[in-house]
Amino acid sequence: MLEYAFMQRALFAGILIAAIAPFIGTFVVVRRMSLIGDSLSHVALSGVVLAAILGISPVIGALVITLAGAFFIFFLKERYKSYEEISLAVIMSAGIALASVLMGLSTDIRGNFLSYLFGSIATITNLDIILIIIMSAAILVFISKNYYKLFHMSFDEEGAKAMGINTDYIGRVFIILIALTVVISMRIVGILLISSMMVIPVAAAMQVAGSFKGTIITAVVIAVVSMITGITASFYFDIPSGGAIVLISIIILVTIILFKGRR
Amino acid sequence: MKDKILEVKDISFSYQKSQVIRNISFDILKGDYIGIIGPNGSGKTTLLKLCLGLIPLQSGEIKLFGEDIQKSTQRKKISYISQKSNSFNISFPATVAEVINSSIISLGYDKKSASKMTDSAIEKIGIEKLKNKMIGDLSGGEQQKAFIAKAIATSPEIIFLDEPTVGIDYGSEQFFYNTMHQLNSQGVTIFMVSHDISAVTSYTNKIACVGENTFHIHLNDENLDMQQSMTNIYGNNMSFIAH
Repeated sequence: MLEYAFMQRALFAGILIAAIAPFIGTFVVVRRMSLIGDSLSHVALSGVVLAAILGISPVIGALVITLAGAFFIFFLKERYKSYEEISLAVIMSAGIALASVLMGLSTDIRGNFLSYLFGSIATITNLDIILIIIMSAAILVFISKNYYKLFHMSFDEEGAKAMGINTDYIGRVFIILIALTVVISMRIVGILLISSMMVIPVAAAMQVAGSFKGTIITAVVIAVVSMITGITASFYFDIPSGGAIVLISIIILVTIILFKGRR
Repeated sequence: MKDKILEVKDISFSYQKSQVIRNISFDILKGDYIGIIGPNGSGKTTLLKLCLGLIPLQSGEIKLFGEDIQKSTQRKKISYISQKSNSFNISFPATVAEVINSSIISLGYDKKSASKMTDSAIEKIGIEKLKNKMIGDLSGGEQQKAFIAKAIATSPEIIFLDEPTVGIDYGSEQFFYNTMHQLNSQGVTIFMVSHDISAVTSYTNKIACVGENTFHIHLNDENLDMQQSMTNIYGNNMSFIAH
């Protein structure tokens, strides 16, 4: 299958996503922010539809709208400090509502709709690959530079703030990074399944790892295995790649739980 | 004259229409061990969070080591142990050593120094056997020891404590207070908010009684004045024995 250019692109992008999503996902899980990934992925859907209407790359459309969604979350969180989940519920509804209205205006998107929802290996272009590389580099640079600050505030946010860490700034940039992860994962994993790549490999890794770094490394390994197996299954059985990848990661999670028992 | 660690000048704070802190002023000097007591809703924790710069001031001024608390460049010199269930992510998937080491590096220390500081803090608290255990697998008392090790690892000049012994057993509580007493005798300033009047009167050298529209600081040997203050804030005829 590697003789096909689209498969080379799919595997390259898939392995990059499998390294990035659980890396950032480990912090998403420990900061109990899993719902943000879901909310932003629904916003990404409206970006894809808008891009189809404007005739631009769906990745660029999703990037712009998802970043706007991240800033809308900041705006709402300021106004509902004691009820932060309200901002996520509003943003998720806004994303779906906008996508459905825009879909009424576009005829181009309807044929490809399922591939955006559940992922497809055949649709990745060279421009997508370039954008995925740039966004992945931005995520890796920020997380590597702020890994220990993010660790400290994930463990003890008030203590980290009291000791001089700018938790508000890092917290906001972190949400922007989740938005970028959603956008880079969108093509292969599918909009409805993006947050699962940030959560399921981490959930499986937490069952067996003996340290935080071990959790990240194990989660990345599980994600890479799920990604390669899922993309291969998608190629040979002509099934949506996102569904295959996520089902394999769930099989790994359940196998680990059965063999190891819950921590 | 001892150095001023914290200067609180004429601060007030309200939650919407309810004023919880009204025109409070006091100084904390190097080596003080101050206990803040008062009934629920009297503003003890709000006062502590204002002093830590965790919530913005509405009026007045707070200086930490002579600098405005919001702009302070000396925050590395403080540590904070909160009521663990409110702040710490106790099921965090990391080892005790990772938590302490990463917290130190996050403050700007290099990895080599952080590793030495981690080992030293773990040794001081006597939790070598817990070093490589996941923090979520520890008992409440063991977790509290790990949090103390994290708090002292950077050799802070002042430690803020918010109800630090809630939910831990008697032995762990005694260990905690003895460790704080030892640190205080080595010159570390301690600022503790607590419901535990017995612990506050036993270990601190200054007691601040916070109540509705009242705030009085006493040395821990002014029995009669303090008894009056406590009666004012708790509304009963309070009596206590200073140790």
